[in-house]
Amino acid sequence: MLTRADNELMCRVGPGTHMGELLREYWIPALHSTDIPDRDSVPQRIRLLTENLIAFRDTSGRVGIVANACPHRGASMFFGRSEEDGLRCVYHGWKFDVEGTCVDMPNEPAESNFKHKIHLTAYTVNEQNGIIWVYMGKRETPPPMPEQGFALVDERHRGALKYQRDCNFVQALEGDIDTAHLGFLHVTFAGRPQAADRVAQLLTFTRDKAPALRVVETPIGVMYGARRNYSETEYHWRVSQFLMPFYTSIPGFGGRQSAKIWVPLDDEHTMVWETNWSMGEELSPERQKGWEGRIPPSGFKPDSTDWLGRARFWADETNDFYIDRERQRNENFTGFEESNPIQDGGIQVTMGKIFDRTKEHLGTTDATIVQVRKKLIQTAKAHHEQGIVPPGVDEPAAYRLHGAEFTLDREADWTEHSKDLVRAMS
Amino acid sequence: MMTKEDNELLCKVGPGTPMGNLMRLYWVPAVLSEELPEPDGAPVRVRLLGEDLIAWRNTDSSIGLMQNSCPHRGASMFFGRNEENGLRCVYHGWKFDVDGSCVDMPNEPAESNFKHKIKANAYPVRERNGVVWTYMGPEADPPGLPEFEWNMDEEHRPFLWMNYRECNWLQAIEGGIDTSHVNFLHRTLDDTLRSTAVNAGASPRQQNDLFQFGRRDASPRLEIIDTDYGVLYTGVRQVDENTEYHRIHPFIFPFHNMIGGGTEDDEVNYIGMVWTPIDDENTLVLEYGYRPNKAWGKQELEQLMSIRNPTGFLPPTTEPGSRWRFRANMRNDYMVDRELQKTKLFFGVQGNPAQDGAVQESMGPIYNRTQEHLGSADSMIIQVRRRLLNAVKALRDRGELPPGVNNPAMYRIRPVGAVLPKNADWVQATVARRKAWYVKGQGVTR
Repeated sequence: MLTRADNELMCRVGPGTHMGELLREYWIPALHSTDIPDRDSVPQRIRLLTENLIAFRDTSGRVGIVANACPHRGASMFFGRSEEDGLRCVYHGWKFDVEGTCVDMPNEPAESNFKHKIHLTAYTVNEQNGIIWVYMGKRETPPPMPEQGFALVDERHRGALKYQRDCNFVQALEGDIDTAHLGFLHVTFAGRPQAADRVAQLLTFTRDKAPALRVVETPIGVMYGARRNYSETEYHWRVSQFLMPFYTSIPGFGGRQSAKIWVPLDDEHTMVWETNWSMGEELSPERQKGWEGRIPPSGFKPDSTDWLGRARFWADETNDFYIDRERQRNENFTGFEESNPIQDGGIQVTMGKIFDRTKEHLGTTDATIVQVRKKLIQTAKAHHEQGIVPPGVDEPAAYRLHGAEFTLDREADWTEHSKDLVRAMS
Repeated sequence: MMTKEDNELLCKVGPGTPMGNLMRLYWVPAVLSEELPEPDGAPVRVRLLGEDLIAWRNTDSSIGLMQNSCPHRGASMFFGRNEENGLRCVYHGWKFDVDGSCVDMPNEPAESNFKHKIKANAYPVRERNGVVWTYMGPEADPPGLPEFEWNMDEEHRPFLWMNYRECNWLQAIEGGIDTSHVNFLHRTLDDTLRSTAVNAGASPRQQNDLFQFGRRDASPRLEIIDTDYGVLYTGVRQVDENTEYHRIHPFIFPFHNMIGGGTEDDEVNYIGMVWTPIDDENTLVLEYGYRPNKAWGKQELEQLMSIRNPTGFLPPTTEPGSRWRFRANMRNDYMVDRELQKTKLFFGVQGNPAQDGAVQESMGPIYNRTQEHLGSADSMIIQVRRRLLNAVKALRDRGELPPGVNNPAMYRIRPVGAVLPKNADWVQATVARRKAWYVKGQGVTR
């Protein structure tokens, strides 16, 4: 349970808010490179941390992420002409490069120096590993990029998937540090067709539905081990990471690791990025794509040019996430499609766009959630009130942590055992 | 750039707001005559200055414009029965005439005098040359209609239509007094499309002026004078070392502007707009095209419409102004065609009004002017805002009437173009040509 004030502080991400200022210290994934493949591309509307922005690729291939409103009289740069290394407003022809410098102002006299006084807000962009990252903070020189495992391997060993969720980023993120729900929300009934490794996992989750949580602080986040009874002599341990400010990593399987990035588009919409990588063998194209078990049969809507028009599922609040009561009786626990993102989305979105945490009742299996919230709130306050640089910003190597899963003798120390298993080595 | 307070002062027009009070001193276009085609026809929803109203054409062909909600218990008069010189509420049969008097109250005893105590809010209406004007102000005896020649000349009726803009009226009219955007927003990259980029109905000579003179110089010098009716400016573009091309266009209180005008008298032909606020976030743009020397032919009118609005209108609903909504609108990004943008049209949206609408609406429903950066090409906009602000404050603080309220003849003006020697006195040189020469009963006298 949180006070209303703390809940607001943790969830609101607009300019000037505590959490908004904190998030702006970090690099943020904005788009896949393939979202704007062409030079002189059609400008794209995007929203990040409540800000309406325009992304475009210039003639040289550089990506610009700039304010929507032309600094002149506020016309939308979405309609702009992307030409000759810049984006030109169609209203009066003012042109800006990817850094926001006004490079042409053809409706003012040639001798005027007005254009040197004009700057379009433009954020620093770094295109890396197929993702267009943006830094929206105040530093002149942005911090280093986080070295999560995904960033350490070549393109045949990785892939990234994104999908939108119509709720605040914190309640979405909380679903990924909440192992107990695996024994319910995502359960497919025995005998129904599903992947073999999933059957084994499910057996573990359903055999012990009340895991004991052990929560520990890490340099830049929170780690927890979920202990489930496994055999007379062994426990099953599921170790997951939360890394500041919006990363989670649950155990991978089949040699593939994964992490999620919970990016607030605004206070009520989140882009969920799933990054997958392998330190060993190359990933098949299918596994790079990461759709298997994740994307429901009903699939994605076509993208639109709307601010929130990307990577949206057809199954959403307007159609009760395609709940099928017959399926709920006979096939799986929820009656939603066989897709964890849809099952997670179905319950998270319907908590209300920004969940009112004054009303909840937390139990022992919510211990990680409690700790992560504390971390987020304390960090945001320390940053806002004392200007303390938040954890991780200048510690790129600290992001080399991910989840792990193992069975272990009941007497053994899980933290000791997992030390190497949760570290991404290059 | 403006303060938040001044911006609100100019943009908000509902009942009781300072700008709302100012606008209510003037005649306001409500609908076109063609929207109320026949006596006893279906009532029409109208929204003006934030007020929901119902318009109907009476049995005697006069027009009524009254409050939407029945004075009895608030049922909408839109559903009313238009019959025998009055509009009858379908709930309990109360009936009102065009003056708002309750002429029948059949659900009360015959001997009751309750109906004499009931008066609906109905505004005076005048219909002239295709436009239905209304006066929403405080005076029992409204001033005369503004004597716009295009609105009086029955021999040469104007090309007349409206378009619906989903933004505040001020950012919309600012596009009408902003000559430099023509070189960009409306520019064609390919001469085959030139006709879409000039004012509707411009003569070949006028098209040539704009293309040959206008296009060559994209950074016009603006010169501005205050006038009795508002503000007059010229956008001066270099023709050659000794000659300049002027486009001399007025802003007229409270929400009018005019554009175009040939460089010679024998080809007078101009357009103008009335930017009527529907409410704070929607505007109905009445546009007229006037040519005093030759009446428009039917084919010409159709051609003009297809040039001004090439993508057509949405199917009308019964919502206020709905028949004037473009098919190309914000919900489909104005059908912007990026290929056309690369090859033929600077913008890639078709039709000048849709192009204007797209950029104006993209500023947001009420543009926040604390963020902007105005240059010398915006000096007319700055001056018009200043005049409006002064007038609004003078009315609010001292009760001073704004320009032209009691001076219908003030509206007898025209915009003009002119090719003049460098540094000529453009005001003096165009005095006669800027007058509207139409006189009722005599036609155009010069």
